[in-house]
Amino acid sequence: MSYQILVAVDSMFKSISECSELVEFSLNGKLVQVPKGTNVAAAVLLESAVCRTTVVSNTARGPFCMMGVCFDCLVSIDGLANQQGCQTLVEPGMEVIVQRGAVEAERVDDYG
Amino acid sequence: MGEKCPVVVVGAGPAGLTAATLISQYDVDVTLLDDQLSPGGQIYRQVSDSKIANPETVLGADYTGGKALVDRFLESSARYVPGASVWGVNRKREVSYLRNDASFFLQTDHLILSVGCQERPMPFPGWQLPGVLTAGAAQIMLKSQAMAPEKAPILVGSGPLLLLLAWQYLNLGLKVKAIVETTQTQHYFHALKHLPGAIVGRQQLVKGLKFLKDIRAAGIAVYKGASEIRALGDQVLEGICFSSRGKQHTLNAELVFIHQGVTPQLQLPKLAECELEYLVSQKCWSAKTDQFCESTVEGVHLIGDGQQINGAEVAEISGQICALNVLKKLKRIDQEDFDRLSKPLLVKKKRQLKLRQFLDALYTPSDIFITPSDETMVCRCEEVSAATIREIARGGCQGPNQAKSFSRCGMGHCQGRFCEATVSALIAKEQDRSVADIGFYRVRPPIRPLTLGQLGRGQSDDRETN
Amino acid sequence: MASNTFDYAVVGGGLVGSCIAYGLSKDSQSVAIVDEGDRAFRASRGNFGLVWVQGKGWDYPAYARWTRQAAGLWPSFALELLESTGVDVDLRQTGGLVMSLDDAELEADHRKMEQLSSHTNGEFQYRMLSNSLLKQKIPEISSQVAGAVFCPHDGHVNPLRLFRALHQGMQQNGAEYLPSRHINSIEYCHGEFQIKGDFDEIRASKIVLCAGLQNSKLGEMVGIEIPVVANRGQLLITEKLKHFLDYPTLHVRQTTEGGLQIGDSAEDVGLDDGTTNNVMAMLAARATKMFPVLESIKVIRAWGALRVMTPDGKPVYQASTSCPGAYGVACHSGVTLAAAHAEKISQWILAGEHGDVISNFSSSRFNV
Repeated sequence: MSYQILVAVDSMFKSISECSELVEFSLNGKLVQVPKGTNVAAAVLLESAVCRTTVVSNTARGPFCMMGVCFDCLVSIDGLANQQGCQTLVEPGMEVIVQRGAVEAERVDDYG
Repeated sequence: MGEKCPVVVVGAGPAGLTAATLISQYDVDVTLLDDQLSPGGQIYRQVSDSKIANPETVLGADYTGGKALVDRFLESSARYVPGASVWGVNRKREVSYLRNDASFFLQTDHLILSVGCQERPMPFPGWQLPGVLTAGAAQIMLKSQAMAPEKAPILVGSGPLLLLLAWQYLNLGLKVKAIVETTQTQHYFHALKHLPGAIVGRQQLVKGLKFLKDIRAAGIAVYKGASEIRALGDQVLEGICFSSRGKQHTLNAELVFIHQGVTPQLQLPKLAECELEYLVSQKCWSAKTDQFCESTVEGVHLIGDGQQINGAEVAEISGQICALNVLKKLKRIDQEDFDRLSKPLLVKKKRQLKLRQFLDALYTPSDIFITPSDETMVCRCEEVSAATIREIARGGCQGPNQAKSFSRCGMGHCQGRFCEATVSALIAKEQDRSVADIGFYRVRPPIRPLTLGQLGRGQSDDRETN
Repeated sequence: MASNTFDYAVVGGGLVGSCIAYGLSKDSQSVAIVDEGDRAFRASRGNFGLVWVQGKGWDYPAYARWTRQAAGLWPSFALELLESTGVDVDLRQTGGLVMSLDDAELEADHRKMEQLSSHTNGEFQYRMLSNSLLKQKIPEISSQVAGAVFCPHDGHVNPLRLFRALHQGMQQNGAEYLPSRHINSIEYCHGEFQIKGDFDEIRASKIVLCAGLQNSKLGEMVGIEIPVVANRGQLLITEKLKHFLDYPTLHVRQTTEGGLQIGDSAEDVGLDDGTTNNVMAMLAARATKMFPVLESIKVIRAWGALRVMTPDGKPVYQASTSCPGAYGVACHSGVTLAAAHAEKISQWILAGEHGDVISNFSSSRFNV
């Protein structure tokens, strides 16, 4: 899957944090370092304006309210889709992926 | 169902922190649930642990002043549960929340909801494009994330927050490309009649004037009385066009921050079946309470901007009044003490509300954002246009709940938080009725998403140990 | 139209009333739909969208035949709505599944199906599926599911689009929608019905009561007994998923838009259309037991809605003898029976015919 269109946008925000402790995670497969305490939506905005495409029209969306009420900053985190980026702190090793359209019902092992 | 708690507070903004701290001082077991990871609410977000150098100079003393409130709370005996995502309450004061992937249920006789406000939706063509953020979002980025715009932003809308944000960026030596003010000239005149009453809040007004002066001195272009606003761009924001004083303007921009005031977050009061009333002066719904902050549902108390938009000072005063009322009910103070302690607070609150009348009149949202043009996307989640809502309204649809069935507006992830006001206003306008008559979306749990697994597992075995 | 006098007044703008008003207005009658406001109890806004045949009328052959006939009328009805209103109600009669989590439950379902089949001389078809056969249809199904009944007559539609299409269609046909009219009384004098409340009086030569739970009370005013009680169902709806479920099931179905509806609870709680944590948890637990893939899928809404239940759960179609021209319709299968209501029931009302189907659903059956 190609995310090129979505991440071709420049960085929107920059960090002015005094925090020197960095956390490394992966955003669309690219390793990125952000100050500790950064949430996923903010981390996306350091790279791009876009965090997903919508289910209804497959058009791009980015973080909007940053306080957990608009649900525009939904991203896939560690394989789980539709996570609210602005409500989730970046953890070391976390895998964040820009979503395209609807979620897939994930196959899980059925031991039943 | 669930653990029984004497007092439960939801929300760690100025109102909730004040109430919880005061109640806990009388040796009452108070539990405070908050969805953020540190106390302060949106207004004092990250105040106890700011990552910005010189926060007082950059963000202002009003912000850093919130640290005392947060510290008092953290030193109190109140049980603090951060990262708690409250997804349901009801009139029996049962609270359901999710924390670290586990479900918890509480029941209380005294439920204090202080869940704060959200940005009033400001729909215009293109407002859904990446690169358009609320001014509140930009402020949260600054306060809690220590992040500032990489590209010079354009600020669009009206309200004190917009000026404050511009001023804060100036303090950081950042560029603001332009301020596009949508405050209509007539609003200045309406506001003037409330000015004498607002004198008690003159410090705030003086502050506002200072912001304006600094902004002008910095040479930022300010466009007044703007209308016909449209965000431009195919995939992402590329610019903005608008008309101001009879002239059309087009500006390039990669970041636009919009603001049109704030409205109470009423999901929890609605779930608890508290009665609401429509405030014409604020063009939004608020929750009814008596003067001691108790809602129409016994034992459900509503304080702060989550009840009615009155700002941080009033939120704190209401937190105190509410706490006294709860302490009286718990027989920790008698009627005499209650009267003695609450009286000066009620007087103080009344005085503060005079300033609010002035601000409400000045920054009343423009009609262009209340009933936007046909092409505007009203429901961002289900991508429903204003034209569709108007068409449905012309077919006789009586209100937002039926409109939801007919168009899917309000059925997405945000559960109508960003389209409710617009849908009701469009139906009202089309049918020449009042918004108060049209009504609001009924809210159903969960108001925050939880997975089928989390819901199905029920109460977690691990007790909270905070 | 300024006049408040109509040939027909249909009371209730839900799915049942809208179908009948749609049918009547097609016949160039002047029709008024008298409806409540935005916050009325509306089964139409809370239903599951199944066009469902299996199981219905296993103990009442007339109902089994009526349901089967109604499902058969659906394809042409859906096409007609699409052509007249441009709204695609997304009818998918793929066949439907009822899954059982244990063998005893599956066996009980099997016996009902046998009975249904014999009632209808084999016209009702079904297949019993073992877990492995079921997995061929739905690979995501859990091994914990004992098996399922597959019925080829079953299907589903988008009930909200149906609702909108009907409202649009009946108004296109010239029917007048009169919302926010809460009725206080209906009077019958000189062959005319006078509908009164806090609004300008509405007059009609004939009146059709389709007011759901209000029908008992309104029925008394025109001499029709329509015993109905509320039965609450709670539903969960999830975030939108990529299409994975090719068949509707009684407990889980995937909507056109991608979201899952999870339901099938029943409670007698009077006029309370709220939700409760324990029922929501039960629905979620059952869905994930049947479909383990749904464990991490998010619920974004839930709701409770009140079914309109007659004493035996079958529809009531009743004409008034004391007030000729008054009809009462009550049922809880407004979607399955939609095409039959739009066609057969409106024809019955237009012609005043007492066909076989109708007589089997008179409310006099409750007085035996």
